[in-house]
Amino acid sequence: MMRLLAMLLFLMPAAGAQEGWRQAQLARGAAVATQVCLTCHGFAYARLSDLSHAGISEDDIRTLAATLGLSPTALLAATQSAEVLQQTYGIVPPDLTLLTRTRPGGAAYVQRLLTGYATAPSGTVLPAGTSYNTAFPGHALRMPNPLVEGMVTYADGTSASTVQMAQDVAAFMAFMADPVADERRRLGMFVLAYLAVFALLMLVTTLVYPLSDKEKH
Amino acid sequence: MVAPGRTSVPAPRAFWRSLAWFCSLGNLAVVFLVIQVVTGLFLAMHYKADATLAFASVQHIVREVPLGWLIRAMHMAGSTFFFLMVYLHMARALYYGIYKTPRRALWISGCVLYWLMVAVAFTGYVLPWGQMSFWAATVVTNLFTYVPLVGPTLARWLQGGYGVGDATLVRFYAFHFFLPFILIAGVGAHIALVRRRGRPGHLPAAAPTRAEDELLPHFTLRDTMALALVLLPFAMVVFHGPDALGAPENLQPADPMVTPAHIVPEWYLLPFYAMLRAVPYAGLGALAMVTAMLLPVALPWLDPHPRSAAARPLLRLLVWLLGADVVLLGWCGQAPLTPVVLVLTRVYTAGYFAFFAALPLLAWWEGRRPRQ
Repeated sequence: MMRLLAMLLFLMPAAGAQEGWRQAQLARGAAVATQVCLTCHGFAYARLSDLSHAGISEDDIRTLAATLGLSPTALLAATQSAEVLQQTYGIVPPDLTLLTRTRPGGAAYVQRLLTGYATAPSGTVLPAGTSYNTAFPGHALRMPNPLVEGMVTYADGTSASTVQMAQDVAAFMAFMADPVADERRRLGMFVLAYLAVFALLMLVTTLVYPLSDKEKH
Repeated sequence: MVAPGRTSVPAPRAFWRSLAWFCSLGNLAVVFLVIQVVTGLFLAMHYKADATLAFASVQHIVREVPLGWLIRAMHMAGSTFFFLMVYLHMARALYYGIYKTPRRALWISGCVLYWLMVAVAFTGYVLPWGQMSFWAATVVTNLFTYVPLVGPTLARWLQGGYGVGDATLVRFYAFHFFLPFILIAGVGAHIALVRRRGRPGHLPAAAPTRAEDELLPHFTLRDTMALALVLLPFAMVVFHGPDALGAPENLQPADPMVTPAHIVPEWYLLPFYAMLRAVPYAGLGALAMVTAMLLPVALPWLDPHPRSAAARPLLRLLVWLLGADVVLLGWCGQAPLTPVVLVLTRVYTAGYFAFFAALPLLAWWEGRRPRQ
């Protein structure tokens, strides 16, 4: 209830600006995800058209897809086949669609992981084919550092630093893991408000009823 | 304000007390059964019972089917709330001795309904075909190999082959679709038995005596109010935390080559799962688990005393202890199996069975004492 009131009274004017900022971030994240991650990882249950749940217009999604050379409605499969990846890395890289919901820490973990590549402390023995990563449990990560400064050209002119790309792609992944989250919370607030009023009215009815019916007996 | 000589409607506080809130639980369980059937029907229109497509079809439902996320979240949270209502409903029947003559048949029908519910819930949990679905199916179908004589054959038949796979998924889907029809018929019989047996003896003294007074407005007011109160947390889960009750591992597609580090069932089966894990020798563990699920049906015979826990302080204490014991068992079921947890689980498992063993002794001992 309080959240609903707060939203209605104070946040409505600010929501527009915030939404615009978020949409820009998701578009940047989409660029990193499709131009970098998609080489090896799939987003097998996601389509760029899912971005419409974030309020991005159909035209904008089509433009974005055209820039990235993808179909807006196709499922985002990894560019390389699973067999090739298995041969190269000895493992098929995990699908990224739901990853932020299956890993503790979610999007923040993804961001820490992508910026967590470092030189291994002296004395550390890493298994062959792994890279040292401060965020990864056990620190020996099979994925080589995927982000190189400036490897993506953002359409909105933002400079593509490693941290920026990690942030954007983590936000994109969190969104794609649950694209209807905002819609769900929005509808949920109205449902909860309705149920609260309903429960209150029922409470009043139950309390008042015995006072009103004395003549019958 | 009340004319002298007239029977008054009780004052609000007395009226409130006369409502017997516990009696709403059965009706609320029916509400959730209806929610499950309706949402399940719509899920069935989009779900694909095929090991290669099932996981993706669930993602299709929550991402692309209009309001599919709502239907799915209601179906998932619905199973939790259905079990919650039924467990509280059973606890109240235990406390107030509803299992005693003349309501023995009512209690037995309730137990059968509960077992059916477990079967429906379990087959349903397998359908999303995530890691936890797959491994839960593997663990449970393998338990059937411990059935004497026919065990291995039964397990093969349930799995539809040597191991859990596509055939298992499709037959579980068939069961999950079909068993609820039996459940609905059983609920009808259960309600008919309630009506035949009339009001239970434990209703508050101020409760209305005439049946027509009971239904309107008492029961309608009470049940609508209770429904509003239960739908609030239900909506909270559906809209704000649909992941809260599910294992994150189940968001990864089933992979027969990778066993999850920690296989856990849904919360409503945790106490029984704890027993399965803690009893030495898997066969004995399975036996303990099944016995624990079946044992409540024996209550009418185990407790021959004519009065309920509400009127027997010692039994009342035991019932509360059993409640605490089951909750603690549930906690053990989800905890990693450390030596401490193992010992605790064994103690609580013994406690669970001790409750049922104590019932006839308690009835006998109380019968020996001179009546006051």
